[in-house]
Amino acid sequence: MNPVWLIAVPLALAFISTFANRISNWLLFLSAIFNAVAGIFLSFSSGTASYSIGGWRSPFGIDLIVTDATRILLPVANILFFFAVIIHLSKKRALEKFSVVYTISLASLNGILLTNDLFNLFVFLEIAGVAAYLLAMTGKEGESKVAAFKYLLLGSVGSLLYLLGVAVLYAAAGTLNISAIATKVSDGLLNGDVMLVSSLLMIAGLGVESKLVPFNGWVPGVFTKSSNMATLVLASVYPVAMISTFSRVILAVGDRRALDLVIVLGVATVLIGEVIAFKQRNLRSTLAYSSIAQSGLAIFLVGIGTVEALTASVMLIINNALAKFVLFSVDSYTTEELGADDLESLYGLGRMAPVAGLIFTVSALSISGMPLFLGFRAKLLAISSSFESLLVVPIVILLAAAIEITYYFRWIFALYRPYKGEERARLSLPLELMAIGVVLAAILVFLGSSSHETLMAFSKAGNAMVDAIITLGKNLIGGV
Amino acid sequence: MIQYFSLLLTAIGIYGLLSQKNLVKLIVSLNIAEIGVNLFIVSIGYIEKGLVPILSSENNSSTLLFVDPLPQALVLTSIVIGVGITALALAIIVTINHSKGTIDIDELIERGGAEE
Amino acid sequence: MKRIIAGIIALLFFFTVSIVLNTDSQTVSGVPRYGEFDLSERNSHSYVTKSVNDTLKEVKFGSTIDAETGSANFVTSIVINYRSFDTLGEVTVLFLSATGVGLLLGGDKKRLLSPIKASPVVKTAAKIVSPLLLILGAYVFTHGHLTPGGGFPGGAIIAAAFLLLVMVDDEKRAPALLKVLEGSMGLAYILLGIGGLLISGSFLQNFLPTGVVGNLFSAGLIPIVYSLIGLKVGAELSGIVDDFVSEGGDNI
Repeated sequence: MNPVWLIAVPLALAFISTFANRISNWLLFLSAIFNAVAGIFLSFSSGTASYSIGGWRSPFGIDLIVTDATRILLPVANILFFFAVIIHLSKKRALEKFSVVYTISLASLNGILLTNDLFNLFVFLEIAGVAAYLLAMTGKEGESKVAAFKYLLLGSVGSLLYLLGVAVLYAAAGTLNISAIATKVSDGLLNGDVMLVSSLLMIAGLGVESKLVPFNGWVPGVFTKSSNMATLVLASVYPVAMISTFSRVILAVGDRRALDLVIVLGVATVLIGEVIAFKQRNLRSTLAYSSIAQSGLAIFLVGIGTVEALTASVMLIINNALAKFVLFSVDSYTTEELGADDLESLYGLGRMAPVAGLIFTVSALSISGMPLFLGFRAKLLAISSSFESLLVVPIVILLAAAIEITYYFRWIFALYRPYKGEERARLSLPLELMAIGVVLAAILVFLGSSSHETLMAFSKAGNAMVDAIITLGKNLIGGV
Repeated sequence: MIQYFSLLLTAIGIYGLLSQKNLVKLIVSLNIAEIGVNLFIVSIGYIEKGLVPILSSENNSSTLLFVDPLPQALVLTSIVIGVGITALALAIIVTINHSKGTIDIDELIERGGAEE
Repeated sequence: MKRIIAGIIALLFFFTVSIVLNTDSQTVSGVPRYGEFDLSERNSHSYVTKSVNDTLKEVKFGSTIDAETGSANFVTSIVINYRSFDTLGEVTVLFLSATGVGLLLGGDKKRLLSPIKASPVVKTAAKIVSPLLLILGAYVFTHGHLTPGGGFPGGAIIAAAFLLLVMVDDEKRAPALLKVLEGSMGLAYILLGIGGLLISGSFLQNFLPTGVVGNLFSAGLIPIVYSLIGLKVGAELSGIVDDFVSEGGDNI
């Protein structure tokens, strides 16, 4: 089926909800279901396919590209969004007037994952960005507006720099299609200075959303102050689209020298993220800085650029998305019920709400890379492929992993310590959260301990990240 | 020359973004930088002795030399997106002023507590 | 101290980007010297000669029938036909921003009063000028395929007419019709796109005949889409103006 339905349907339903305000929640639910089902259909075929928009053949028109990597990432993003909608649909306050914004953000994330055109990517990044700025404003205190404003400034500067990079690349290459430019880059037809400067500008632009150092000043404020559903979507669904698009674009049109800079920035991000996360005293901030570190992990592998590294990167993105979904959900639930989420308040949560404790433990272990979980396989592959570059890189990554394990275990032990205050009643999770959490935790365990063949899909995805865009460009007949 | 000038405008806008404290001045600097980038994009399309890319009764054949119309289309989109972002940013500033009473970024960071 | 660092960073940016200018050469292609490049090296050559799907033929104003996009304004044909998906995205960004402004500031019945009261001369003149502005805006967006302009400037002119009325009259509020207009025009644009998908096989493909280049009723879907966009943008920007002059705040 034509993947443009994944973008057109949520947009159409969003426009309908402007004059039918009462049913906007149901329209959001409808578009989330439609996208989740359509995303699953997309994953049944295989290979690289390109769909043109407007009837003009690529590279003259815009086209959508579906590779093996998209077939994993797209369904995951849509299904996680659907889960987020299910969990929060019953709480009227969370959605209220913002359902239009969520619907449009769903459409834009799909657009980012699918598009094969640089300027179209800019437009969809702006849509996703404006939706994210609006979602960041949903917090209860006035500080969320200041955090959202900071996010808006950083995001706008980032997209400005990205646009400049695209303009410079267009002046040199004459086309805006990613496959066509990738072919020219690999044939060596573009000036080295032009490629270097445009890669730097595009790294700066895409790096703001991908939480790279030094562009990630917005993350702590936004993740800690916005509402529960907004944080869930921003922390688990957005990174899937943003980090994978960063990888796709920089690998296709980036200069080889710029990839070394990507390694440096990625490693710095990991180290800074883990160190600051270690010092945090409440769970939300810890998870926010841990998200920064996970992005850095996935991105420095892009700089290394081998198929193995890209496979690890895809696995890390999926691991982060699933685990952070559970972690943030449990955290927002306990904050609502217990009022606080610092270390002492969470003592004994494992006994008060056993299912919550179990899924929290599984997700935390998977993110820190313990054996039996998907995170272990991903980290192992990441570290082994990092030996391709300087020795200092795997050393820093291992150091960061050690720090990560330490603070996650601190939180896990806190869940099972006896509570020091008065007796608290047993908590029971809402049914949707329990069911979804158990499903996601089971997936993490399954992928982590199953045989090697089930991970073939990830290797195909890694392969596709490196090759598919250039292969499509070379197969275009009559391209410029 | 005009390409250097537009990059200079962008650099001035970036200087403003990094050094100003008033929130409204930050938005003005962002607009200046956006104007610089848009001007640069349009300048990429210019061809010496090219005509305005519209067929009319004087320039009535497509075989004449026209300037590149694609950068102009890109800039159309970019200007509109800039307008949207500016409107949203100004609305946020009005809200911040209502709730905090100040629009100075240093005071807001101080009052907001250490989040960095 | 902060200003010096800011200045250094800005200068660094300027020099880094300016090394790419004038880098075109025989063997590798870079950014060409200002004004000197061959249009046939770029995709836009096919846009200008309208030969993306057909063979290269000359297109003449007033006599060519059924050209590829049919619009005399090449920029319009790119914005609405060749790269229509970008325009859909741009319309969505504006829609989101207007929604955001409405969520933050809107919804109050009372209006902020302007500190300076307009004199009767200005009020009367404004009431005469604003219908003329509306006509001008409508002219700009319906003739988008023949003259420069199109939906976005046309919509902005319509919003300027509304702004004029708001500035001179303290009671003026936007009619409730505006929200409905905005949503329905956006929906109509996507439905046209889906119609193209179902009728011709690609999203946003032109499915109407394109007529003679240079007539008002030509270029297939282009005047229709630009009119939709003009009305939508006009309604949106007027809504933003209305939200800014309303008394509400901190509504979230």
